[in-house]
Amino acid sequence: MNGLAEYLSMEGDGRFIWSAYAVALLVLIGLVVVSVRNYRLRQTELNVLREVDGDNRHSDDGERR
Amino acid sequence: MPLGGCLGLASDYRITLGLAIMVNLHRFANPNRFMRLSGFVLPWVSGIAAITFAVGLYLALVVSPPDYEQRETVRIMYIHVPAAWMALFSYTLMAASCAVALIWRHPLADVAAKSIAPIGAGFTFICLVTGSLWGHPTWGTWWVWDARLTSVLILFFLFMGYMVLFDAFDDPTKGARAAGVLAMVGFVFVPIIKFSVDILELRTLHQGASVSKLSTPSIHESMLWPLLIMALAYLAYFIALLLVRMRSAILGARVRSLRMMQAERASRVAIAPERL
Repeated sequence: MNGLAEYLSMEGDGRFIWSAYAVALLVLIGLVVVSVRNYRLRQTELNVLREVDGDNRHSDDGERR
Repeated sequence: MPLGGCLGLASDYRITLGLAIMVNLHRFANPNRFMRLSGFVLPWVSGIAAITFAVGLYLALVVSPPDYEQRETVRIMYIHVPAAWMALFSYTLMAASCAVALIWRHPLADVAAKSIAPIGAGFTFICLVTGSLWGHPTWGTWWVWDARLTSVLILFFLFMGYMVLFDAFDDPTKGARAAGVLAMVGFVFVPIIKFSVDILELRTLHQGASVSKLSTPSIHESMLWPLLIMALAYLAYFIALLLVRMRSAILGARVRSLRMMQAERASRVAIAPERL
């Protein structure tokens, strides 16, 4: 346990080092979360629109017949 | 004359190579082809990013030794220096994409530039904050207004300015053009940042480059390897995220055009239903 506390304290500079790593990881993970969520949202939107498009075309064909 | 004949006539191999790159770039410009190719590449690059990050962080936080002068704070280097490299790389790529978009009207160039901007801003932000957190215990100050730090701050504002300007116009083409000009003009800061610690060495607290030449770096192997692996991790992360964002932008464009087509069809039905 002492060893872990000693490691985390990093000779007294732990707060600077861990804050730096935390900021970097937060930014990197945050960008991935936002980008992937946006990507999935657009994929879903596109699928819904394509389904509607397909239905409309079928109904158009039906009217023409 | 067929293209192969033109290539054969180009006696200088550099012209041939240039032409081949141009032809391939043009083929790659097709969004459908890009979606297919990026869909194949994305899982591999993401995997490489995850593995190199895991290995790089383990080497940086556990295996690498403390510095004789900076002690444990040197571990900040492994996330700070690759972020600075990637910030400059992202900006260069963004400015180049803007130039291609403005000159050749490459269909994917604006998409690429717009997708790079938030990632580049993220790298620059990491570089600034981790640099500040490294500066306090080593220099005794969070910030100095010297050439290197100030020019990196301006780089961050350039990324932000590009994003704001891109969305500031009702007409997206105008927004892309205005933001592209800003990105290209701002490119002047890239060499200023790159050489600021070497040319203005006496007027800065920032140390000179330790890895200017890979053959003779002034950094020990036990620190060089974690640094290079972290740099590879950042690069793989950049490529993977760029592909995701570009794919997302292409899907967004498809969503917009489908909506417009459906709205147009609906209005035609409303105006003249008997013609259908």
